[in-house]
Amino acid sequence: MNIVGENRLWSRIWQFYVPLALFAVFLLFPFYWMLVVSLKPNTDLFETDLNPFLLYSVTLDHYRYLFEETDFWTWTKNTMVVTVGATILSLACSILIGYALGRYRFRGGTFLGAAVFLAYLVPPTLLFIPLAEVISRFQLYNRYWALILTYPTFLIPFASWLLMGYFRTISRELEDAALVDGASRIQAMWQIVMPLALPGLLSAGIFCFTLGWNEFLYALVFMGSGEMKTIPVGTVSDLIRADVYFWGSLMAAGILGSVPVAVAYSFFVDHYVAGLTAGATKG
Amino acid sequence: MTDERISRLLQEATRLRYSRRQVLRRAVALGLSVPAVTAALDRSAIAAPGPRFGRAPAVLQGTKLTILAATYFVPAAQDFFVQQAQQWGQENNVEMTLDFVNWPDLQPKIGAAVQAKSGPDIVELWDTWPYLYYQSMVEVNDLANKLGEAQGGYFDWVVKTAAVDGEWYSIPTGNSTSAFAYRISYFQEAGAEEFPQTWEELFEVGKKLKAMGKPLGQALGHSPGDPPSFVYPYMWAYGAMEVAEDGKTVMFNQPEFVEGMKIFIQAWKDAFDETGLSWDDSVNNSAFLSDQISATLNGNSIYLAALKPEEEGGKPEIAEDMSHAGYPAGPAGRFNNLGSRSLGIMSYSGNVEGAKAFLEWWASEEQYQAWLEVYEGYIIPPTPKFIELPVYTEDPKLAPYAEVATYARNKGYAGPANQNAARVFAEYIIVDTFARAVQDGDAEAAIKWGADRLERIYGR
Repeated sequence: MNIVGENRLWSRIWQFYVPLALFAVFLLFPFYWMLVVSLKPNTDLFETDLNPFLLYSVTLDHYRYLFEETDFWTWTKNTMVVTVGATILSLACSILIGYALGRYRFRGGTFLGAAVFLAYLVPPTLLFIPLAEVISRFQLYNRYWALILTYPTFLIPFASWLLMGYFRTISRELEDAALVDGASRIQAMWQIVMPLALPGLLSAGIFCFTLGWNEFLYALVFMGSGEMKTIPVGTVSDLIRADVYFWGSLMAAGILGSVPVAVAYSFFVDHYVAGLTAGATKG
Repeated sequence: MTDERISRLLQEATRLRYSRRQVLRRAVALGLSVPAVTAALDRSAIAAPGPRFGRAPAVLQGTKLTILAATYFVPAAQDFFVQQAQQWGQENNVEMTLDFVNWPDLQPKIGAAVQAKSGPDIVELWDTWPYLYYQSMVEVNDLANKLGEAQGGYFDWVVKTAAVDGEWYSIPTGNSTSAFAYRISYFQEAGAEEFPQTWEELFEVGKKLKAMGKPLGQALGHSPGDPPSFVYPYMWAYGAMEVAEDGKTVMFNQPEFVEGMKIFIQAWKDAFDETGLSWDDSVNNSAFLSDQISATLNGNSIYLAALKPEEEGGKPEIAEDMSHAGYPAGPAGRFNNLGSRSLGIMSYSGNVEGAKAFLEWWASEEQYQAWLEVYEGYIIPPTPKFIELPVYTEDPKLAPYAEVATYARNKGYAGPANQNAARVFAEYIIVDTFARAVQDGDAEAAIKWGADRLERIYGR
């Protein structure tokens, strides 16, 4: 008889597994719902006598419709090009901004740091009209560059802020030692600080990738003509006809559209968490 | 090969006595070139040709045109419009691009295009929008008047909502409208052999229907279609309106309307599905098709969806048991809200001549009528010329949709459907007045809130 061990088991169940299970259900339910609806025949979708959470028969018609009757693969390609392009550009800029604000001490540095973050708070609904004029003047309308150059307006501020905090957590002595050994500032940054900042870079990268992948308004207004649609724009323009929603295909597009983001997270989850929590316990 | 298929289609049409509309729908389904089928039809005895509008001038050769419009409820009609445009483009060597966006996304795209002076050449405008964008559009009085005169003149609701103080900056294309879709058997079970003629009678029947577990359904969320379709006509039926004819004096806070709102607040509890506060345009469709509600205001999209074969998600048994009815009356009369959509040319377009030539060709009787026919009666035409087409009359269940156009008022009534009316519409002030009333149960406070908001917009 091991009463202590039993108590430990029960307390683990109540304090760990039960909350974990509740979180898992809460977080995974939308995906479960999307999957169930995407596999249901139309006849079952509006049948209220059936339990809506269960599958009674399975069909791939909604996926077939998505692949054969819409340009889903073209939307996916467009989304990938735009998201990867905007992420690389935003990371490149954010590294420089974050490094400068995180490592250097100069007059106005704190204010600049706050200003960069405040820029993130300007909503795209205010920016899209003036940005449309910029896109037009540079004749970028309906080209990939229209989004690759506009997404950084909301990606760079937050990524810079994140990286600024991360760079501050890396020991300054390491960089100083490199400088004493004859490295230039760029070499010290590239060869000493950057490898140590990898978790932060991955966090910022995943953050940029996710926001770019899901962005709707700029993609609708600046691109979105003919075949130049991203997944969020293509699904609502081709799978919602006036007041009739193609729920099955919409959910199929939702499931498939979330795969790249899920893959990105699952590969880098450990680094991502490390990046997000860096500095949480350090000054 | 294509000629053979067209020929086979015409033989089938003769054998089975297809109407012109049925032939065109079959053509779309078979993937045939609709203009080619139209031309073959004109040569055959199946249908008489309409007047022909001339081919576009040679100067357009090698140019481009982009058209931006809202998605169509009837997919075949959207495909048909694309085919028409592409056929015209091929005949005139003009590269055509057509973009269809979800309803709420149309205005951001137009707004950005206007600001950037770049984007589509032709845009679809909804009622009240011509007042917002006319300064960025090409005046098309000649074309609009010519088409209107050739088709018996535009309806009053069209002139008030698609023209800007009598000037045309776009070509009216008509609009979908609402009527009550209702379940015949449930209404009979509740003691109503016919659809009630007044709002109060409807609410009385609604009480019994709700007790039967089949309430009335009405969206009161922020959605551009169904919520305004109810709140504007109900407001007018109880004697209120946004403004007087001068376009400035707010006429919203009327004692009769306050009484009407009290009746509605009670009816919301007794007769309606109260989750309607969060509904958008799509929810009443799915609620009706899943047998959760007994009646709702809607375009004919519910009926057309129900008519589909069962394997395509249709509900033939519901289609059989449902019908449509016009708007009930209130103490001040019977009203409906209707405004025309239109197609306009942006003034920044580098191909204004091409855009005009396309619109003239597409709005000609022959092309426009074929488009209306493929649209299955969903769109009410802007002129009386087409209102007697079989597509509006052959199915008696759809007849109310053509009738409701006869007592339609514009948004912003009794003033014009101008930028103020557009703002009231865009900010959902009338819809929110109703939503506040049923949420708080205070008719006076809700109407006062709405009147204050209207005063700020109209009283400037």
